[in-house]
Amino acid sequence: MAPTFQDIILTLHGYWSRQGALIVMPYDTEKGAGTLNPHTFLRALGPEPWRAAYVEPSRRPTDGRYGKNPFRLQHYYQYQCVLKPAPANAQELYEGSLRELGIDTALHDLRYVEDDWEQATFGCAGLGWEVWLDGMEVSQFTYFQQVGGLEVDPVTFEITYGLERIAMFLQGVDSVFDLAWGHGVTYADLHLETERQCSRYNFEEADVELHRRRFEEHYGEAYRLLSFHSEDEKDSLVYPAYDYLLKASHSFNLLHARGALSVAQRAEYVDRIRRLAGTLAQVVVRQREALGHPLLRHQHAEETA
Amino acid sequence: MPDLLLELACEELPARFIERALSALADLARGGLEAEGLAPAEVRVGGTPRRLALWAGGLPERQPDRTIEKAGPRASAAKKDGAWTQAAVKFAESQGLRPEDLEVRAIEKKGKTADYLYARRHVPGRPALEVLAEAIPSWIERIPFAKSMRWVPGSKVRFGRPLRGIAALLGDPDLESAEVVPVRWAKLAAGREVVGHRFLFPEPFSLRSASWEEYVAALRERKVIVDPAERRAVVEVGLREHLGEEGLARHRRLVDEVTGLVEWPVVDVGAFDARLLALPEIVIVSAMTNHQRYFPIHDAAGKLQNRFAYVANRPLHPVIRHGNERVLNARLSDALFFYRLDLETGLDRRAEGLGSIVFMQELGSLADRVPRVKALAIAVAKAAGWIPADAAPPDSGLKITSSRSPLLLHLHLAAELARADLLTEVVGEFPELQGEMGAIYAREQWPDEVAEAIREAYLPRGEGDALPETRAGICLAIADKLDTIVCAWATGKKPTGSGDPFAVRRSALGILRILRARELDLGLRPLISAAVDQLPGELRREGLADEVEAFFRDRLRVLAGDPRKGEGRDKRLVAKVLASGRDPSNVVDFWRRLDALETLARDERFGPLCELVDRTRTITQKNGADVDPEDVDVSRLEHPAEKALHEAIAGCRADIRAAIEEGRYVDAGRRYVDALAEVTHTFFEPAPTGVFVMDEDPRLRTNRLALLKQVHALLAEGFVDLAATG
Repeated sequence: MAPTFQDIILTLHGYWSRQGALIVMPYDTEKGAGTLNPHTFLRALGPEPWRAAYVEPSRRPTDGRYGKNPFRLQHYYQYQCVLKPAPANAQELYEGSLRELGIDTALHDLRYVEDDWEQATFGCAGLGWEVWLDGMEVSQFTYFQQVGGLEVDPVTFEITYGLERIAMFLQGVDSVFDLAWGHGVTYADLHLETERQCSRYNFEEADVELHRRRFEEHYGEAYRLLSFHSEDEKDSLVYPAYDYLLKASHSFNLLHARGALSVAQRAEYVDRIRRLAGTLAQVVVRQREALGHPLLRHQHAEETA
Repeated sequence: MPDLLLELACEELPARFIERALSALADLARGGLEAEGLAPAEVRVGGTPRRLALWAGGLPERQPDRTIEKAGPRASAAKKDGAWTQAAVKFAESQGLRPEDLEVRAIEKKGKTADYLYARRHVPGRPALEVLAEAIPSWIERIPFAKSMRWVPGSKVRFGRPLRGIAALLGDPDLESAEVVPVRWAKLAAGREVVGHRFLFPEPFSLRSASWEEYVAALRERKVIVDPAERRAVVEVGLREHLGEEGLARHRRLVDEVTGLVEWPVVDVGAFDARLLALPEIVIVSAMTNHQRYFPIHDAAGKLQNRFAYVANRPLHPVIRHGNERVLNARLSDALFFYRLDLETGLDRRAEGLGSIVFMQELGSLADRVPRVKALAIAVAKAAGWIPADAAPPDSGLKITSSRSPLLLHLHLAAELARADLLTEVVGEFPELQGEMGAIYAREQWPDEVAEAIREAYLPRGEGDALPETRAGICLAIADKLDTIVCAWATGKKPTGSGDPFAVRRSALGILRILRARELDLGLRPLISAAVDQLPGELRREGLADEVEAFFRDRLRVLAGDPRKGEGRDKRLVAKVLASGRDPSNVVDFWRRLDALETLARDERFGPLCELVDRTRTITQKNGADVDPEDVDVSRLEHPAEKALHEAIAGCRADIRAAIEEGRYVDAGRRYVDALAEVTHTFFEPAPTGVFVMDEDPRLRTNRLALLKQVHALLAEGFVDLAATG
């Protein structure tokens, strides 16, 4: 009996929890990828150790296909796991999770194929692979090198599972909409209509002027909250600022999907977000330092034990 | 004579990194061992995505003893008041000696001989094991990767992907118990353990000897072929059976990549739903090769089959083939759905959407661009003499009308439809098929020439890519690129050291290559001016066309003179040709002139003559800026050498001008050299044989400066500026 979509999530939660990861929650702001959840973006900065796993609903307006494409969705689910510092057996841990899901790695052809990752908007870059399972890309692996424009040390290791892809593989279905989510309910039951409507909204109906305005307002708010630090860094409200930066980034994605941005304008928006994300990352690093890097105590505890 | 075996076990290196890393490792080891006095008899390397391995056979047991000699401070500064000076003591210490062990030697430095303190120190050779433990980390560190990364906390070490293990053994070939070389790097300590295939033999095993054969055999038992050439051979043999020799040759690069993706290649063939063959072949092939690294299979008649070859990284199992087939079927069904949707919609309907894609903010949409590109394409066709100068494009929308110039009609239609495929579903899924899909869809409604032009408008996409062949394609390709270049320039997005957002350099290079290969004997300048003139008023500005023309000239200089990005022709000659020309923006003429100059440069009189022409320029620039070259008063020619020069110029001038006018550059140059090499040389001899130019008498002086200007101008007007140095 192939696992349902929710079985897969529960299995991964159980597995990664046993590997010492915190099971944390998706973030309540629209974003393009699980990397932008503060549980990854902000925790990848600085020296504090961190292990976490979570499901992240991710929005990529340009990937919408009105529910007509069996693979492409403008809203989908990533399963994200971050390990910092990157352990020496990261690949083996990942392979263990596949076996836990019922994929016999001694039977299939599993491959790590070069695929470096870059999130220009948030100044992130890393080296890694996409993982092929008998020719199907099922996960993305990255060793972060830069976050918010800062070189990171220790390096965070990120695994992103394409939950839909893995579920399709395990359930042997050819369309994402045929996936069994659980208890007799399919992925289509949950998301076919949302895909149709949101694709239409993203490509045809999104109010360009509204989103231009929203971008400026959200960006302005993030900027204002961060500029507190020119007086006293401790007063900078980096977490609310990050929320507004995410919102600005989502408005940008919608404008892009609407074809409302020229190449040069796109570059300009990306540049603005990146610069602010860079400032934010620097302030976060200093604030954590001022707090005495509370999570380092775990590392110390482990080392003493 | 022991052997060294080294294996660097890493996480999967990108396929393209492996061969380069291996050859560098071999060089580093060879060089490093020689430098340490441990030159090996033989070096071998092999590797896979998960390991780089090196074997150096027949090393000396230990380094030879050496005497190291070094000169120190002057002997005169060695002692003060009978005691050793600070300088002497420090020098001795640096050499591990006492001051009294130093010798004094007379040494020549910068042509002067003096007495210096001199250290001679006997250094006993160290055992190979010890030396290797120190040397190997420096080899590892210097292996080059196109991109490298950090992964060790608190450390700056970098490698292509994380290094996870080092095996380093030193031992005699006939001995079973080689010693571990105690290498330490990236928080790893070398051992003798190695792993086999990631999933089939993950358990580490111990190597007993430093034998390459044993290493290779032990891994072969564990489903790893260490030698990349052997893996490639396995892949090729497997593929040849299904693809044939020709098919294999077509996919050379994919074979390389696949060889670097596996440790145990096994070729297998899968099939996809035959109904999917309704897709254009290019879509199927792109899905296979670009997206899945599969190989398309054709029958003997060249017809694409519904089968594909793929390379697995392990012995076959039915689930693997089934999985790969499912992926391809899904991808192609998806593509077929979109292809049918596109056909149903029609390219003309898609073209209506061009207004919704922004080209550049200041310049509106892709639809706004259509008339500009069309006008430029027609201007190119007129400049090439392919359509009458007074022809105007039909105002027929997308209908086919009769036209006295079919080319004009084709250009009109192709310009209207080019890039409409950006709005098609298939291009949305396969962006690399831009242009190709446009042509396929255009064929449904319009003549082949229109379809071809739409396809060729994108060419060349990069270095080494094909060039457009049809007249309509050539005109459209040039026009499309020129509009992009001028628009980017006008809106401040010209290329800089750090970026070139509109790929302006590549576009310019494309235009230059097309003009040359298709022998379009026309000047770029009028086309650049036309492109500038049709910009919206606020973007047009004084000097813009000059800047763009200068940019093209600079690209031409790179294309001709740069050994890496261009042809590596003699840069001095390139500079001389670029500085002249009847129409310096005529690319075909530039190459003709450069070829001619290369021929002339083989004449031994040529080099010296160039130097003399350079002297004429130096003298006249400094002293005769206002002198009119025609202002020679024959009655005031006094010196025999200046008379001879004047006669020589007068004698060859008409011939040279005619030859340049007719494009017979070699003739012009030969005539020039024959007529002037000797007399110019004599002219510049010291007086009294030669002529003193800067005579006190201003009339004599002016005469002579004018003569020299003529010498320079004879070829500089229209062919080559011999005095130019770039």
